[in-house]
Amino acid sequence: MTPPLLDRLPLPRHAPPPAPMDGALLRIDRLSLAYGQVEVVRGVSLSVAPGQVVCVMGRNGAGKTTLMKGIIGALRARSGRILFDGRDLTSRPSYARARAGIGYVPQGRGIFPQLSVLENLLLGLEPRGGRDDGRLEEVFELFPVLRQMAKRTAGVLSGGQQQQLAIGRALMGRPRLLLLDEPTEGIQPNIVEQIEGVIASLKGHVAVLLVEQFLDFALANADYCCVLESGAVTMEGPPASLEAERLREALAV
Amino acid sequence: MDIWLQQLFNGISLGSILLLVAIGLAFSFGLMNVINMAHGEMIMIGAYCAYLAQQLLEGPLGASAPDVSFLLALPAAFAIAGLVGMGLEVTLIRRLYGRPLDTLLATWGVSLVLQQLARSIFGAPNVQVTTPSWLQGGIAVTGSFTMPYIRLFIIAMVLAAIALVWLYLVRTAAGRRTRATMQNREVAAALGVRTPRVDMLTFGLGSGLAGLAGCALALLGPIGPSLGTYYIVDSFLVVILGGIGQVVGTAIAALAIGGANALLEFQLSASVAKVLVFALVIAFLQWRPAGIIARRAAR
Repeated sequence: MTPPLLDRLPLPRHAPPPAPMDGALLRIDRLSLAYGQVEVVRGVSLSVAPGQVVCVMGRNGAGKTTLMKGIIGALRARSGRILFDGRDLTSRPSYARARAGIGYVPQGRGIFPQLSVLENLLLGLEPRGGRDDGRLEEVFELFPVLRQMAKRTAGVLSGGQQQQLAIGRALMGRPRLLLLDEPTEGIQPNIVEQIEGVIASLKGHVAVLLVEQFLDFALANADYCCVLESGAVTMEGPPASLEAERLREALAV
Repeated sequence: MDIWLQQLFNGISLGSILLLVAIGLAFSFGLMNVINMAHGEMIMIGAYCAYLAQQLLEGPLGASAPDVSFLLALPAAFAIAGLVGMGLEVTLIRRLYGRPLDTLLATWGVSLVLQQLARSIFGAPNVQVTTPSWLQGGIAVTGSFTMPYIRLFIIAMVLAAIALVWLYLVRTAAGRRTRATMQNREVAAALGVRTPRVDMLTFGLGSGLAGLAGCALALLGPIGPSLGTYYIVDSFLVVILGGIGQVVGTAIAALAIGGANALLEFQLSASVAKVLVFALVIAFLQWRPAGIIARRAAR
């Protein structure tokens, strides 16, 4: 592989995205996204290999959440392509992307507050036609608190519990790629640890595209990092290759 | 005293019909933010279903036709109005998604077209449905206060329909998808819920309920092409007065408006009664703009 010394050299600003390009599960090709006339994501290219954890970092307003919305289809692409498992999903509706195998944990968790915890989880089975083959039990084992709260209205859960519910719900559909948008935002430390443990346990089985502002969390968990600035990728590579100084500068408010 | 009880009872049965119509309006507004001006015509379609069923069966069955035809007309009215509603959603409303004002105008146009269509098919004069023999008469409670079987039947039918809708929403996977889409369309779709199908089915269900209400109304009075317009305004009032998306509030509002109409109409002329009801609702909404039961802010 590449010598470690070369790895640590700062990458040129517009370097072509390095490996892994072959056998990528998700490949985003020069994707641009806009709200009305305001372009928020500009020509981002990115790929995620099966089982890999890729972290997207950047300041508030850099376009991270917009990028996630573009991948799941809540926002239609202005230009560029989204390929998943070799299929072009660019013009497919959101539900078709979920059914293709993409799980989504939105920023702010996006649980259904007036539905019960169990109903929230069962909705996660939609990509597989609502059939449960023991998946619910697995998710309950991953997040035991959800079993205790199963009959409760989801709106009464604490922030951390809601986050566990949102992740559990996304895992119900056995996705091959999980989009996690700021899973540790505003959550008490012990639950952050638990979520970190779950992400680590997914490594190798489920590909994860993670948006995270928590630098340590990102560097400890990711196989590959991307830094977005003003909607464009300005830095990328395995965490060890990223120059700490430049990285802090790119993420500083 | 008896006459007041009588009017109140009539008001409750009218209110229950308004409730059935209002549920459909609340669905389309809660799910798609659509104000469907053609909803009243679903009532009209349901009422003509009752008439048509009776006409079709008169040949083979003769005088006993109304007894059978009404029972067949109820499911038929639900199905036909539901299908028309689904057609309307697929061909028009979904194409105007996110343009509420255009949707309002377009559905108003559809309402006029449907009324004219009814006029062309059935003629402008009102038609009448004969009450089935098993619904004639009533229970004499005290003196001059009787509860007519027709109105008791309507109340029972509305209660049964609402119970079934509730079971559908709370106990079935399709209902779960509907509630999820109402709460957060974007996330529901991102989880794999086929939201266009949810929209179509829910719109169809709401229209079917209005058709059912129309079929029941056929027992209470004459049927004409503009039957729906008489009830649609009151139904809108019920939805707004009850608090949008509030089941209990909607039920209370339906009974209140039904009761107020019946009691005031008995005292004053029908149009003065209507003015008074409007004034009362406006005054109430000045006091509580969100309706009887305000929607809780999402956490």
